[in-house]
Parts: sequence; C-alpha cells; structure tokens
Amino acid sequence: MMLTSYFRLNGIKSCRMGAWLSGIGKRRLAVGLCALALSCGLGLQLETLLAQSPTGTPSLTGIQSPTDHRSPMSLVLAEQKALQQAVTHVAPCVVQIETFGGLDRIDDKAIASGPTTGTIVDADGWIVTSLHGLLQQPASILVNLPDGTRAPAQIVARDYSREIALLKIDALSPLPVAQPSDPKSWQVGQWSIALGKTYDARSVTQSYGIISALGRAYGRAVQTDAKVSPINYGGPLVDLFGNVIGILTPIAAGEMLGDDGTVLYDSGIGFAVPLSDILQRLPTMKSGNDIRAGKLGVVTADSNEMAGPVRLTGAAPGSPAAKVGMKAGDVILEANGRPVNLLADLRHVLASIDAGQSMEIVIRRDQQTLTMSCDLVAEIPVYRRRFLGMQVEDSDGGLKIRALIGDSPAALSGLEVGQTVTHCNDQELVQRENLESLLAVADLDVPLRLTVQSEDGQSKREISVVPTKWPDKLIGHDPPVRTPPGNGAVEATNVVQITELKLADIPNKIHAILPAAAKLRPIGCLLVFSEPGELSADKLKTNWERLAIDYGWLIVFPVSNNPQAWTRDEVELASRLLARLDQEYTIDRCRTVIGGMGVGGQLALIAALVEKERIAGTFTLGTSLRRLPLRTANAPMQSLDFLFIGDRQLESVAEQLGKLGYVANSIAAEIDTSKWDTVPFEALKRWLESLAYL
Amino acid sequence: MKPDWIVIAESNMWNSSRQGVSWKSNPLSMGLFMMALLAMMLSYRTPRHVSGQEATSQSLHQTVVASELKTVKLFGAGGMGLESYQSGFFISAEGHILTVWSTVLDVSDIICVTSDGRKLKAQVLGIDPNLELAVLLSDQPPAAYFSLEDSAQAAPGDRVLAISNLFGIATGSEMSSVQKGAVMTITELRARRGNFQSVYQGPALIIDAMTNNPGAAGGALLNMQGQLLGMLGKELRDTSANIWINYALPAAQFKESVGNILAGKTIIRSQATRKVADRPMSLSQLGLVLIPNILSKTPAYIDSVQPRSPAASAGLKPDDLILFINSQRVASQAALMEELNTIDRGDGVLVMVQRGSELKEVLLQP
Repeated sequence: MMLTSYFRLNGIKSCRMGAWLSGIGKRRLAVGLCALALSCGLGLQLETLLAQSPTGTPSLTGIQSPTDHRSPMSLVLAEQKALQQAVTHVAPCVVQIETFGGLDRIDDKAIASGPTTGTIVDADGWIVTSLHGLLQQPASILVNLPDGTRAPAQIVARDYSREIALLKIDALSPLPVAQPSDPKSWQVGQWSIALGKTYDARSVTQSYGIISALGRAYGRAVQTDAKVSPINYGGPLVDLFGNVIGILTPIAAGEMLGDDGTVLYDSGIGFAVPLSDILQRLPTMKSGNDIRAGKLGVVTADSNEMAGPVRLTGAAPGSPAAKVGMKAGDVILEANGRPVNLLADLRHVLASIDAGQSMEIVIRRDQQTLTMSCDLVAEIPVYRRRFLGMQVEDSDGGLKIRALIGDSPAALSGLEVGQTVTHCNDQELVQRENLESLLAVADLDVPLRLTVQSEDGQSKREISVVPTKWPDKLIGHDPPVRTPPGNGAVEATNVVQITELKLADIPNKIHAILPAAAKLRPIGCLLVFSEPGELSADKLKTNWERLAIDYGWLIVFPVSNNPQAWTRDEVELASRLLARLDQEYTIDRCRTVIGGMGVGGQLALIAALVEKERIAGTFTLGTSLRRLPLRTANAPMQSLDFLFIGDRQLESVAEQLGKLGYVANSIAAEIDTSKWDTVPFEALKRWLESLAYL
Repeated sequence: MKPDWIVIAESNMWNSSRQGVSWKSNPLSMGLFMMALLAMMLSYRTPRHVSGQEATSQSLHQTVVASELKTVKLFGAGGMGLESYQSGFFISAEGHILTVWSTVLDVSDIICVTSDGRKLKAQVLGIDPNLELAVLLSDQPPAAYFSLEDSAQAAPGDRVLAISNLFGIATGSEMSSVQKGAVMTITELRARRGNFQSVYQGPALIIDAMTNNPGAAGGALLNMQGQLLGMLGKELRDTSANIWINYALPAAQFKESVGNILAGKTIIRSQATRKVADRPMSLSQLGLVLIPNILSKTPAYIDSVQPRSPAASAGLKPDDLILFINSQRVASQAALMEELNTIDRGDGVLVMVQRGSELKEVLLQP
C-alpha cells in the first residue's frame, strides 16, 4: 500500500519483537495465551452446540436432552464427538503438498522444505494453499490426495495480498470440495478447528480453538487461538459443521509485527483468510492472474497510523490519487462508504481492495465535499526526489535563495542568489517546507511558477522552473559557509565548545560539539555513532570542529556503554538525543543526520530507519554492508538520503537503494575506523550540504 | 505467575456444574476448595490409582486434582544454560517415578516435591537410552500413582490434559500446571527422519498444548478421564518446518521398557539410526548423470542416461525429475545421495520420476 508508511520500518520495535518472539519469549507468550484459551473454552461451546441448527451436518448424539448437561464429563465427550465429526466431514478436502528442489535460504532466513497443506476448492483439481509453503520456488510440486494418489501440481496464480496460492492438478475423478462457512454466522468465541496435513498424507492434524477476532490484518483475516504453524499453513480453519471459515496462512498482521507473520506460530494468534474472499477471486486466479493489494498513492506528512484527520500533503506522481487530481490540503473523509478519521481507517479499507479494483473516496477541499473514484494499481512508479538545485532560507516575505548549483534547473531558469521566492503556483511561501511539499509531488514535465522578488526588493517577476529527478551523482559543489546572523565578532562565531550531555536514565556518556552561535539560527544536527569504546574529546574537536563552525552543525557522539561492543538497545540513544536537542535548539529538519563509523554505521542505519521522519539522511564510514533490510520504496515527503564511504562493495548497496527510488551515493575510500583523520571530510561536507538543496 | 490454586480453579471452569462463583475472586470458595482438596488427600491415605472405569463418573476438576497427586516436580543438576528441573509422575505404590532421562538426573539425590507438599529424595533405578526415559525410586511411597496397566491409547483429535512443571513455575507445595489441548496427530518421528534430532524414533503424540518448554519434559499426558496417555518429551525442533513441536511418548511405547527396568534389566542403546550400506549404491551404477549440483537444494533432474544401464532399460530419460527413491522423498540431489548410501549395490531401487505432468514409477535392477 502506498500511503505513507512506505518504510516506516518501525525498526526497533519490529526487530526486537522478532527476536523476542523467536526466542524463549515467544514460548512464554504461548503459555500465557494458552491459559486464556482454557478459561474461555466452555461457556461458548455449550452455546454454540445448542444454538446451531440440528439440521447441520454433525449429529450431536452426545447431547440428547438438557438434563444431560448436568453431567460434566458427558458434555466434554459430546463436544469431542462434535469436533471429531466436523473434522471427519472436511478431512477429505485437505491434501498434503510436497515440494522438490528450490531455495533453502531467503535473505539469510532458512526456508523450511517439509510437506505443507492444501485445501481443495473445486472438484476439477483446484487447490489453495499458503504462499508460505512455496517461498522456496520449488522445481516441482506434488499433491498427495487422501486416497493415496499423487498428482503433479502447477502454481496457477498467487494472491500476494492474502498470502494464498492457487494450484492445479489433473483430477482423474471429481474431488471432494471444501464448503465455505457463511461469514455472517461467525461469532468471536465460537469453536474453530485448524487442520493440516504435513505429518501424514492420509490423516489430518487438528487443533481446537475459538475465533479470537474478526476482520484482523486490516480486514483480511479471521484470528483464532487454535495452533497455527507450518504444520497447518494452507489447511482449513473449520467451524463445528466442518465448513471452512478460511485458509490458514501467516498473513502480515500489522505494523507492530512487521511483515513476517510466521513469528506468531503457536503463539495463540493464528490467521485464516476467509474462504469466501478467496472464492470470490477464484475465477480471476484460475485464469492465471496474480492478485496484489491495490495502491492509492496519497501522501501525508505524518505516517503514524493513529494520525488523523487524514490531510494530504500531495499525491504520489503517477499514482491513482494523482490521476484523479487529489492534492495537498485535501482531507479524506470516507473510503468506500466507511468513515476515515485516522490513517489506520484508510489503510483498513485499502488492504482488502485489490489492484485493478476501484474505490470511492470522499474528500473535503476548501469548503467543498468531493467524491472521487480511483482505480487502484499494483505498483506506483518508483519515486525519486525532485531537484531544482537551490538552497533557500526563510526570510521576510518568502524564501531567500542562498545557493545555486550551476546547470541545475533553478540556475538555468534564471534564478539568482539573493532573490526571494514569494509564491509557487500562486501559493504563498512562508517556510521552506511549503516549497518542499509542492516540489515533492511535482510532475517532472510540468513547470513550477515561482514569483521572485529581486534582491533589492524593487521588482517582482515570475520564473518557470521544470523540476528534474535528483541527480545520480553526488552534487559537486562547494556551498558557501553558513555564517550566523547579526554582526557578532568573527572570533565569537569561530568558537565551539566540546562538552558532555546527560540524558535521564541513560548511562551512556555523550560528547557534543556545540557551536557558540548554536542558538542564534536554525542549526544542523549530526549524530555520529563511533566504534565502541571511549572517545577522546580532543580528537573529536580537532577533526569535527571545522564542520561545526563553517556550516553550523551541532554534532553529538554517544559512547557505547560496554567498551567492547554496542548493543542493539543503544540504537534508542538516537531517538532520545534528537528529542532532547529538538527542545533546546531550532533544528533544521533538512539538515538532521544520523551517521556512524565502523560498527557504529550499522547502528546509524537502524536508528535512521526508526527516526526516518525526523531526519534527512544517514551515512556510514568504513562500515561493511552487503544489503539493507529495506524493501519499502521511496515516497514523496518520506525521502531519506544515504551516503556510504568505504569499500567498493558499497556501490551495489547504493545501487539497490537507487532502484527503490532513494538518493544513495557511495564513495570508495580507505578508512581506518579507529582514526577520525582518515575520514574524507570534504566529501562528507558536500553531501551534508547537499541535503539542504531543493 | 499464578498460584497453583488458580491453575486448578481455571480447570474447574470446565466443570459445567459450577455454582456461579469464581475461585479467583472469592476467598470463601478458595477455602472450600482447599478443604475439598484436603478431604481428597485424606481419602487417598493409601496409595491408589483411579481406573478408567471409575473416572468416567467424575468431573474434570476431580480428574485434575487426583492426577496432580500422582505427579511430581523434580529438581537436580543444572547450570551452563541448562535447566535444573523437570517433571515426573509416580507409577507404583512403592514410589517409582517415570521421567525423561536428562542431565537434571546427574545428582546422587534427586529432590522430588509432590503436590501434597512432601519433599522426597529419589535415585535413578534404571534408564532406557533408546526412549530417553529414566525410572527413579523415591524414599517414600506416593499418595497416588498412575498404573501403566490402566493407561489408555490416544487417537488423533482426543482432547487431553498435560500436567507438568513447565518453566519451573510451581515451587514448594504448589501444584504443577495443567494445560488442555488435543492430540493433533500421531506421527512416527522416524518417518520424518533427519528432521528431528531425537534419539527416540518411534510414534509420538503431537499435541496442541504448548508443552515444548523448559521443565515440562517428564510430565503426564492424560485423557479427560485422567487415564495416562503418555509422557511429555524433551524439547524438540522440527527442522523441516522450522518450529518447535509439542509431543508426548505414547504409554504403549514405554510400558515394556519400564517393566524391564523394574525387573532389573539393563537396556542397551540400539542402533536406531540408519546404517550406511557396506557397499552403497551409486548413481553411475544405475547409469544416471544428474544436472550439475550447484545449489544447496539442486533438484534431482536427470541430465543423461548411460546406454544399456539399469536406468536406460527402465526407460528413464534426460529431464526426468527424480522425486522418490524407495518411497522416500528426495527433495534435492543431496537427499538423493543420502538415500542411495543406505541401499546395497546389489538391491533393486524403486524410483519415481516426474516427466512433464506425468508421474512414473520404475524399478531399477542393477
């Protein structure tokens, strides 16, 4: 989904959660939830047994008359019998799937290759399963039918939104078909049975639970406390009548848990995609068409799910939202007839709509209410930051141009340093952010109309600039130094102070280089994770003070607690420090950067992904990297620039990021990560200043 | 952490004849419960076990309380990241305890704490290295015990209770924890050979209660009537699915072995793992050349077939994909080689291949 959370990795949370869940913590959690299931078991089962019509499939012979309920054991046995009948009813529709060949690792994660489960949905040999069991892209797939026959299968289509695959085998005779349970009949608390076939092709595995929630995973799944794991992914979750509620699959459940649903295995949280939703899409899938989640392409300043009202800062260029003319300032009120108060509401509606389907959106623009119909798409063109080639600073009546890059669209259009841009496309410019958000969603072939006031304030004229994509190469330009305002003595501006900061309840030592004039103007904020171990304040000052003085950077260096190593938790230092500095100083968002040297570079990257909304860029010095765990494409107003200085391998890392639309550069240099003076400061300085360009 | 009486009280909710009071909130009911427990303990003055016949008339709550008195928390050696506790249960009036064989038992006196609060000492009487179980003898007779003669056989779908001291959560006289679940399936650990690093290779009851946790091993698996179905196994990972599994050894599997230990026989480790054949079969023997094995899971596609070889006379062709060797799935060339290594050079080999969308099974006779 395009929206805004592109790559709000929720870094720390998801990483930690993952580690926690996959370790012993996961298993502790499982125990806790198990006890929960125990306590809510019986009340509902009685109700379900009695409420459901006697004409249903299982004959509840254990319960003849109300008086029988008084015998506790007979109720337990009657329930067991009913559960067994449901299982027997559906078992012939459950098949075992075996795979041959394929990958054994994806992204350093071992891929299980054991048998998996499928559910027959059409007598003609159509079988659905979980995408999870086919991740390894096997060379061959065999389906083992309950009667012992084997048949080769083909993957016909995949539903990437619901993590479901459709297989086809040649059936010699009509196969038994799983009957869907009516979604209207579902109640949280009713019995649900998870079935699998991984252990034995002829008999099913079964786990009993209840429906824990409906409409989970943004409306795409039913949640159950029956045990769901690779043992039964692809199998059915059935009701007491043996009708299929859904197909078990580790669907991505939400931001908190990241995109790997398997971490939840056997945790008391399992998901099934409603069979009715799958059957609805079966004709499309049978003809070989994959299904993907639909993307809309609206851009909001805040990507937090709980943010609301949903006010747009624009529409991603080329997106469905842009095509229907949605623009900055629009507030989304409704989506497909459902009210949208929070970003999560919109996401909830979007997730269940496929690419190719349309959705109706009601927006408020100025005083008007407009209804728009958008045709959602699978992919929105990769977004790359727009480029004009100028630096501006807020000044009276507009934005004053402080630097221009030769041959840039801005320079070529006749803009000059010292001019003040007062309007863009007739919209008044008060702060840099005004122009930034207009530029972010600007089309590449449509000129922006800038109203420009000459340096002496005498004349005004209009200049058209056509934005381009941000250049691939590092901007080769020496920007003018940033002198503090006022006519303070030159000596005073040349002074930096090296000091130590203290954060409440954080034991780490933190060195800081503070320019004397730090409070006089918006200042750049640079946070550098070094190699673990004590840092010499003198050496920090010698190497970094020039940058701090000339370009107005406040630079902080946290020191690892353990002199031998950084711990993952210390990534959090970045968030704490930035928040603290934000309170004391006027920080330029476009010049807020997290960087790192050696191992510290890895912390910097993680911290940068977590603090993405607060910072403009991240860099590493002499950090060896092969791949970044970043799959979310770049998006307007969410850009993050990368610089990697070090070995030649980094070029391919930058390239990968470039493909996702990010501005990423690499510079080959030999860096001794224990010596600051091996850092190519000139290149670093240029890159840091490039962040401030529009 | 919840006190033992809540564990019991929750299981009591299964009892549909509850009187509308909650054990959790009502101290009076808790008092009543403790009295009931006391009364029950008094009635068990002589060691006894409840047979399946008797059990059908009792409530689940009674089942649980009666079974708790037969189980025991074991404390022994630990350290180096290993837990120093596990679970066990009484199997005789003399005080024999069945548990899993583990490093916890590596002490001269194993401390056994019963659910009626007694602290006993026990020593290892004998072990079965193949089933990884141990029989201990405690210095005092139990209040009650499970008779192996009265154990029952579980079927898939049966609802079960697991009683164990998982995570060592019960201390002192606290009761062990009761978990409910169902038998998901019964599978041969042997059939998924290579997937489990388990010494035990026989049938196992896979259950959906989360028993794969420290301290649970050696606990009792019961049916709803309180009959013994099996013993909870050690922590075990299923590498073919990348998950931990919850399982128990069926009672039928250890009955004989326990009898032998009680009779004073020593059980020696059998060669349970498959042997590499003395004269292992090779691909060239069969006349097969596979595509280059460049991936860790290269599929076993036939690249060429030697003329006048067993493969040629059976009609195998290039591009056939070998799926099964003697009915064993070979998901990769590595798995194929491993399988061939167990076959004698002189024996026939049953091969199933996929040719296009067709499956073909042939016997290669060297």
